[in-house]
Amino acid sequence: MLGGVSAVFLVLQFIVLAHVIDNLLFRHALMESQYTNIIWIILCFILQIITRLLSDISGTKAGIKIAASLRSDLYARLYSTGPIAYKNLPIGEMVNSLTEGIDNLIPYFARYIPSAAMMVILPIFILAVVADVDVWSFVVLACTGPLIPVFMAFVGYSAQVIMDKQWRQLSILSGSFLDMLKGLKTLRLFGRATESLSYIEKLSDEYRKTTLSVMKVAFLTSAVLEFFSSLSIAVIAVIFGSRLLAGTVDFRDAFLVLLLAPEYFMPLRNFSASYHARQNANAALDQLKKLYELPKLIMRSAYVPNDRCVEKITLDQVTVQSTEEQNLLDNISCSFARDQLSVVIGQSGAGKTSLLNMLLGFLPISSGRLSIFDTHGLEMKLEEMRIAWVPQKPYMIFGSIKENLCLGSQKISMDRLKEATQQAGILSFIEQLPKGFETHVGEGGKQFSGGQLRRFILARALLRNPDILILDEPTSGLDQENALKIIQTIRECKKDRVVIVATHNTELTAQNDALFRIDHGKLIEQSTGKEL
Amino acid sequence: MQDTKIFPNKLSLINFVKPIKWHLALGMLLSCVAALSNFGLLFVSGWLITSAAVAGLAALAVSQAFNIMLPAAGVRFFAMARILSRYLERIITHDGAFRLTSSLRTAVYALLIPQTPSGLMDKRGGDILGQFVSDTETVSAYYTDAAIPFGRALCCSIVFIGLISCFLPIAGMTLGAALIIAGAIVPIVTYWMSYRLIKQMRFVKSRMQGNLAETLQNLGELLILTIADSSVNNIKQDQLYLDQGKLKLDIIESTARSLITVIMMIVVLLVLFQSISAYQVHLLSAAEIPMLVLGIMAAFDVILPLPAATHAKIKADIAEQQLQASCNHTVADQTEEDLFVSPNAPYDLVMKQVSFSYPQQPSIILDHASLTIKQGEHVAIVGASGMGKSSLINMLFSFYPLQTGSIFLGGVDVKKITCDKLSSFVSVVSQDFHLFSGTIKENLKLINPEVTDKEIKDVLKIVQLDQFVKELLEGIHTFIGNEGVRLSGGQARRLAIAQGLLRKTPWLILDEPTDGLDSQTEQALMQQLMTHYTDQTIVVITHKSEILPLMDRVILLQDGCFHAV
Repeated sequence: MLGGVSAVFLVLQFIVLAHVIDNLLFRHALMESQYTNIIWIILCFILQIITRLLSDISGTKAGIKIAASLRSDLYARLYSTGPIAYKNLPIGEMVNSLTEGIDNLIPYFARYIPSAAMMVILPIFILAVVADVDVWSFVVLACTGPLIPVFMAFVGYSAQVIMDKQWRQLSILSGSFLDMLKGLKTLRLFGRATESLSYIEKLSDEYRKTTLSVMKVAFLTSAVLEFFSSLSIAVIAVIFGSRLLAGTVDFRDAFLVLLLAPEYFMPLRNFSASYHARQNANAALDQLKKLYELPKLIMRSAYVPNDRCVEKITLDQVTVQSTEEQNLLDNISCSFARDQLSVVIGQSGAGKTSLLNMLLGFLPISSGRLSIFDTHGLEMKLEEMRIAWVPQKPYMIFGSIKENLCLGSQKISMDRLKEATQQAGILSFIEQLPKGFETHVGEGGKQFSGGQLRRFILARALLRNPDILILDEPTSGLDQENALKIIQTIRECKKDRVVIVATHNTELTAQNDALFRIDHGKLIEQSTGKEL
Repeated sequence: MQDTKIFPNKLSLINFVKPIKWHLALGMLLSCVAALSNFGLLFVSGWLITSAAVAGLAALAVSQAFNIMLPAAGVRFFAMARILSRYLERIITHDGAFRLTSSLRTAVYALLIPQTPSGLMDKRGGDILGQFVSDTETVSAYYTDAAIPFGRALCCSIVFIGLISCFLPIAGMTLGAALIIAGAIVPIVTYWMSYRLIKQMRFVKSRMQGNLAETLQNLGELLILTIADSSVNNIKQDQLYLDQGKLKLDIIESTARSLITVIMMIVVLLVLFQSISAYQVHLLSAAEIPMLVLGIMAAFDVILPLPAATHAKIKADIAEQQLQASCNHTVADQTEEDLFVSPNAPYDLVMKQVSFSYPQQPSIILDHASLTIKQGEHVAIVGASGMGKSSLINMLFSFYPLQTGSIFLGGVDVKKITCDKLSSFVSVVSQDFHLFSGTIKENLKLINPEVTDKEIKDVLKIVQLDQFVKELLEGIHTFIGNEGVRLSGGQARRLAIAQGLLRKTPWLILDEPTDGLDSQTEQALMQQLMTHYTDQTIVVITHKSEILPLMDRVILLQDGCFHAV
């Protein structure tokens, strides 16, 4: 809108400018008499600059706002799809879509759409002014104006045809550098890294040639635009020249039209320049579509505070399928009880993790039933149970031990903190640190060993006083001594809660109160007590 | 051959420009011609209509004597020259930019080879490879987006000032002063105002991308801890900073552009005054006044893109620094004398008291572990996932340093054998193998360029892909898509194994070769491998118990040590 206002001022400014020059040159006016007009020029000019500035900035603002709301929307969506839905998507690619991808939409909203609107408003306005001033020029501009989009579309269409033809080659070649970077380790292992240099050179040379062949046609679009705008300016100038010579037309009008003619074509030029903003936006939308198409797998909504305690969890013929409809868990019936250490074993890929994911609410149940009973034998909802999870790769924030332990819990007293760390067997270690609980953990907790980190996470889980504690391979990456310590700790925290552990470790398995062996998604062995 | 010897270890932009300097210069020249034609067009048109008007007002004789044909031809000439030179300019400059990108990428790749994979790992999961792609592009865009606009502005300004001075020296001086302010001072101020912001934005952006990657990786735990919202809020805050920064840059750029327009308007008015005064004392004809006014307007056309060019320059500078930084990591020390060391037959593998964990990661992979594998043995290494079975490959190739102990192959410490040399003895099909976008044959040829169709056929049979390929319309010329997406996981894996087999090395290490295969194919593949490659050492890293009976020996990796099973 502001863009339109700015255009009006621009035209007004030119009208007065033409007027001044005409007065001075042909009407022998004195410089002094033109001061008011010059003030008008300056005024129009200032207004024009300001409105254009505002229109540009508000365009960018709008673009950024749209991008921000799209982002929020996508984040919210990812909460409901959960981590399992995108486990096959490369994280780097997702990050790219969510940042650069959405950023690519900004120029589209900030430049493309306003310039598309300007393309209609400004030429029509200029045309109206010109019609008022001079009929001949009006005819020239009115004829060439509409021709331009037609020819541009025509050339653009043939560029598109060429592009479609070479689409496969272009898409391979444009990604070839990334492809080779990704494959660098493979090439190195196969001893072909040095030789692949010439291959890269060849690919990028091919890319250059192919792209240029498309560009040669695509640039014709702008050449056509140039041709028509130059042609009509030249025609107008020459027609005016001869008419001026014959004295049939005013200099003021001629000069004004000559000033206006380039502006008539300017929005079109801007539009064709911002055309690639649209193409980038389209590419970005394709990327984002992938994220929008992720299935919603999260079964459990936010925790509902309550004071019920879980007695046991029962699975009745539960089947869980992947998004490709493969059975991850196949018809499983079992139950996990309070005060017991339930150990889930099986080979990698057998379905242990799927079972944990299902209990955590990250994977939906395709058939069968999951029921939870409280100590009074009444059924509970998934979001009513206090659940805590010790994953294989824990999340550590860049902060102190205390901040990391208190993640997700509010107002933890020091006593409570000490109790939980005592239980996790890490209190004495923390207390002997010079800064105690305020010690910084470093990026990703790398200040500490794997065993210490595992204990921190266990303490963090215990701080939440969970009814259900789920541990995924708690001993992996630990040496024998640390593994034994953590096993001891796990055994001690089964009191008053359901503890479910997936593991390969034989010592940990030996501590079980109930054992579940899974193979190919099926429960093939189930025992209570310590017989294995 | 040693990696570090072959390649320069520093990126130098001059080296890339040299071979194509004439090409780049031509682009620059054309872009100047285009700008000058534009100037000429407006300049002559202004003169044409005014002098026609003057002539028209004068006596009939004068108006008939006025030759409109010559300036009209000038108008047409400049119009055509502008179209043609703009068209050629765009093609030539884009071509130049592509050539720059190409040579820059090749050089970056060469520098990255010795650092793979350790130098390419981003602990925080950011898109480090994508960063290389976009940084090389940004640096080459320096030519089209910054060098051309500035070079053009400089060359054309001199011409403009000269031309205008011919008519009215004082106007030329005014224009000169204005062009210096608009073309030099405004960009310098823009640079000064934007540099730190752009640099800071880049920093915040990479921090945000790291946080976002971390959040996505740990979303499950964040949801369970009910802190997903607060974690995303941190990201949103960084995003807000970036958005505001973007807006700020946009405001700086638009303001700088407006400023240039303001300067232009002042110059137009000043020159108008000056020329009117000159006209009044008959130093200038009436026709020349609009010509000068239009000419000045056209002159500023080359100045207007400079703020944007300044930003492009800053971005290119920062991207270049980044590339320099990530390409010039120190490479693991290898001394001159070790260059020619190669393992001696028999190629036995001996690991002595090896301890290993990844840099800056707490988990211990190996803890004083020892192992011997004799040449010709078929060995399986089993163990729970996450125990570090696959890390054995990284240790063998010295991609990461060992904490204690050494690994010997054929009696030589692998630390002293270059990766290229070692890979001529050992073929590894790693779990994170990569297939290149191209056809099946292209993928095999890339690994072994001398391979014959017969060999391809044989090897496809061994990996149980012969039937599949036979059913394809285009056979081995079938396009397998980006990273082999058109193949199933198992098919892609078998094609990667075929790549490894075609190298015919004494050692073959297969990491989870039968993942994603049904048990029938799995058995057939392993049977074929064991019967066809009796002389070769085959080490299979696996978690599948079904293939263990086919092996000579099974080794269990547990708690950082090897155990015989």
